[in-house]
Amino acid sequence: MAGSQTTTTDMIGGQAAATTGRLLDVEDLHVEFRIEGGVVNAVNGLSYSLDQGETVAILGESGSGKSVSAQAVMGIIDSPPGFITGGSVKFRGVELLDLPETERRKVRGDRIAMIFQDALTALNPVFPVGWQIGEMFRIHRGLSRRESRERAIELMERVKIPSARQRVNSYPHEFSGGMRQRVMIAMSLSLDPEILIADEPTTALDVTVQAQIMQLLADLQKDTGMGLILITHDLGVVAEVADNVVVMYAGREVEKGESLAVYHHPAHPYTVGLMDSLPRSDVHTARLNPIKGSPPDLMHIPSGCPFHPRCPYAQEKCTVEDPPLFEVGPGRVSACHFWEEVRRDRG
Amino acid sequence: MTDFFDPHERQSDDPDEEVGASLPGTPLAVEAIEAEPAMGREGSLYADAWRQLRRRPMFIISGVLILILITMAIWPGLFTRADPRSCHLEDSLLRPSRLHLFGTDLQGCDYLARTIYGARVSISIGIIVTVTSTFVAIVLGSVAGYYGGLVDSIIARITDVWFAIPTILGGIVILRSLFRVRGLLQVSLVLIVLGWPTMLRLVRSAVLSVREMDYVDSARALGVSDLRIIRRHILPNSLAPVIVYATITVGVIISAEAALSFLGVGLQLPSISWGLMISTAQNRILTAPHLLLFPGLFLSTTVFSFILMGDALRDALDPRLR
Repeated sequence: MAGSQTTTTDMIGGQAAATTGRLLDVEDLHVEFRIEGGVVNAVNGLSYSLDQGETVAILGESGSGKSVSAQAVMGIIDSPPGFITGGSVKFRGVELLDLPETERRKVRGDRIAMIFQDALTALNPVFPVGWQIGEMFRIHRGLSRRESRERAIELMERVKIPSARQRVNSYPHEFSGGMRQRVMIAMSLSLDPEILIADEPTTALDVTVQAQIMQLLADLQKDTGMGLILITHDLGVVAEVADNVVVMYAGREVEKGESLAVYHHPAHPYTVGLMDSLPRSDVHTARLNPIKGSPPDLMHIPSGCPFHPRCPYAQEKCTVEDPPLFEVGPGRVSACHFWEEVRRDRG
Repeated sequence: MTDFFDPHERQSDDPDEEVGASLPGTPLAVEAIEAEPAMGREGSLYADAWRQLRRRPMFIISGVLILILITMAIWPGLFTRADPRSCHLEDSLLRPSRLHLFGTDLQGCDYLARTIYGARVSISIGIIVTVTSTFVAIVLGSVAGYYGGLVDSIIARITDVWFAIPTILGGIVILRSLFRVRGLLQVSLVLIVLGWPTMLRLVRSAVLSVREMDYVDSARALGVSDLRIIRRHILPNSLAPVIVYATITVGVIISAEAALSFLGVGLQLPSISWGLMISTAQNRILTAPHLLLFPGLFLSTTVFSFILMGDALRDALDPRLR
């Protein structure tokens, strides 16, 4: 930002040079939705941090609060009914939750960008893709239509959309799913954000295309050094691309640590359950092994450990006492009273 | 990575074949290859709808009728040489003849001329009322739908109360009690005041559904301002039903004006309006049926054309109906 006026965003930019690679600190984040009939506790204490060039995966089932937590970081939760009731989100040391909306908007898109699961619905159907990518330059950089169009073409080439110049005026429905996701990525990268939040970027795509998109994200991350927050329910993706992982259940973190370590030696029964419900090529079983029961109603989260109704390790203690985060290894925590047994069983 | 490029795209050898099929925009894509900078060109939806419309009999018929009626409203002299206000009492209540194609009325005025001049009032009121109430509805409806919460509750409740007033009844009360002279402007004003709630509800619900779309979240996540989101992302995507309904509304308003005039609370003589003509004709239905027939025919044709046009637009603008 060629900052002429002193704004908070400029301040963040000023600090960028001074500080080390720490981009984001989320601490004890709480989000609730106040709807008719009660309060939905969507996020109940989530903490993680993100460094430059690092990838953090947030893993969980539908309704575990992973997307909501990302929206809270972006500041795009509809309020009402959504309210951030506690915690802090610090971007380069500046508390985002306290920023006024106008300052916040300068951070969005410019410093922290986000891509969505279904690129077809995440692109405006009545405008050409080039117009939509260029919109970023017109809003945040004040470029003219012609300049922004040129920049849009460059970006489309950067995300490897073939014959970008010819396709800049095509509409979203004229692209395939994978190409649309590339357009989304081009939009989000337009202003060189420092953090990219990818909310299930590959869920709506074919397996082969998924791999290409993940590869593209990894390449772009290497080029730009941006931090990537990957929201996913796919443990395989996590193990491949993420440095660290936060496993969420019922809006809270249940296990956290370096992703390969978590993948190979899970220390929470929920993580174990997630792994067992994956189809595996090395073990032949007749059936998949899903986690029994269904995710809890976030209006009525079970007492004690929220996972106890579905947990094979659950005992009396679990129904009354909410497990704290136990340190289970270097930089690893697990919210399970019986993590040692889980650990032992997984050998 | 180029091998990933989906070979199914751009394969349509025959662009015409694609119209109305699952890839309705393909011909556009072909155009886009010869792209001149056309950023901001709006809507494959609308371009597509236009291609659809051009070949629809319903659209062509109603379009021609509406064009004729609008021409009639602007230049009535093109359709008749007679002056609707020069009347000869000795010619009172003549049946249609070669001299007076539609006959004459009680005062001996040429009925063809009066019928044609009547189009001006009806069409003006229809268009003035529709455009104004649509504008009000778009502004308030998008604010209510987009921001939700308290603003929405206030706007929505006021609309509901307003909505509960029946148009004709409300029109009678307001016109009788407030205006001593009732001309085109007074009647339009009353119909605007009574007409916007329905339109607002429509805009609001369209905005509500579009607001939930991911591209709105995505625009917000990329730091786009609210005003721009409403203008660029929400309105272009929620206007289709509004356009359809507005077209139908023109017809409905025209008939509402006629109804008010018929009941004696709308336009007053010496205005020339179909409603007034029908109202005067009611006492002589048996002796001079032509007095009812011609304005009635014109009125229903006009209303019919606008409603037909609305239907044609709906078919073209709603891809699910194709």
